[in-house]
Amino acid sequence: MNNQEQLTPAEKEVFEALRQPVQPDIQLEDRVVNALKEEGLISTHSGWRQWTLRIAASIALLAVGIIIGKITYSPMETTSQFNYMLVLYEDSRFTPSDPEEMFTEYSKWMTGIQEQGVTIDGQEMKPTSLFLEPDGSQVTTENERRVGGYFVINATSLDQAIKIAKNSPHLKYGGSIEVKEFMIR
Amino acid sequence: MYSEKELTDQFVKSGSEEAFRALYRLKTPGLYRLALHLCRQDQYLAEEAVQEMWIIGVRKLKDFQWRSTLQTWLTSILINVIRSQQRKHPKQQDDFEKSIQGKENVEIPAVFTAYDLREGISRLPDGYQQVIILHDIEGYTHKEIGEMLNINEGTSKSQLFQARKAVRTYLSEKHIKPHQS
Repeated sequence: MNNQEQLTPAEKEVFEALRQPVQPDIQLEDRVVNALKEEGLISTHSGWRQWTLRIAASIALLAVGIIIGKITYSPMETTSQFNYMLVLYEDSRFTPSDPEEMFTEYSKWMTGIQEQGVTIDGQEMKPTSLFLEPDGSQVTTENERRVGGYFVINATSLDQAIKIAKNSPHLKYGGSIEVKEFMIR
Repeated sequence: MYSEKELTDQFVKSGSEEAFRALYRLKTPGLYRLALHLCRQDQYLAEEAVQEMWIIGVRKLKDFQWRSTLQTWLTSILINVIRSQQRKHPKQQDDFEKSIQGKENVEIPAVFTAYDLREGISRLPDGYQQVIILHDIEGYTHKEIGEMLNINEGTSKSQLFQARKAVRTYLSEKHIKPHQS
């Protein structure tokens, strides 16, 4: 170094070496997360990977049966009752909320569908899938984008099915929905 | 790869652990480096400071207006946390001004290592150390440093000049040999 007011190129080069990011102890992350939980600053629910979502979704889907009561049927009996399927996808953008809040929202959404005279049923799915290859071999996968569940409805048109899907809490929580029309021959 | 704004929005919206961890992993390495420099390479103090920074930051994140980058905002919080630590155990400054008086033309080794430089910086009094780290390592302007440290730009410039002089004096007086590579 010298006593010039500005850093020389050689000095800048040495400072550059001090500019590299440093990874802290790997345990620091957990300590920070635990401290935030103790302060009540982050949810104790840990996202779509955890059981809370499944409970929330189960409660919400159970509500379908409670809310629409006798107009739901078992899939075997009611195949022809439905004409659209809403396939619910989840990826890293999916961030579920408090189970009670989700329950209230799904209940409200389903009640609204029922009031339109539309029948609805649905089922939550486990995150992992089992694929059968053409040779019969089985592959278990856990993809970044996965099917979290589905609803089946008897909408009067594709527009109505899309509108129902757009109002679904699933989109609000960062999930995506594929609207599929049944092939009825 | 999400931007810091997207990750922040996701976390503010969901309050989820997963969203926070993503934000933590994006921002912590750079901030931890700064904490280590400001804590004179004391790993324990640096980790304490980073943890406290995140607690304060998360508490205030909903009100963050994006008038600066998230990095700058978190840096300000981190500096305040560390200054608070340092106020409890201030580094003596009594002889600092005296120690660099008349050291205008010291003979400086042509080459020195990052370790030598870090050692020289760690010997500075707190305020001078903060300015040289924020300016010469982190790349902040005197205006930004002034806002972070609550000093005026002139003070920042003056302290940077004195800090560089002190570090150069340290390197000279320690007779550091040119680095042979």
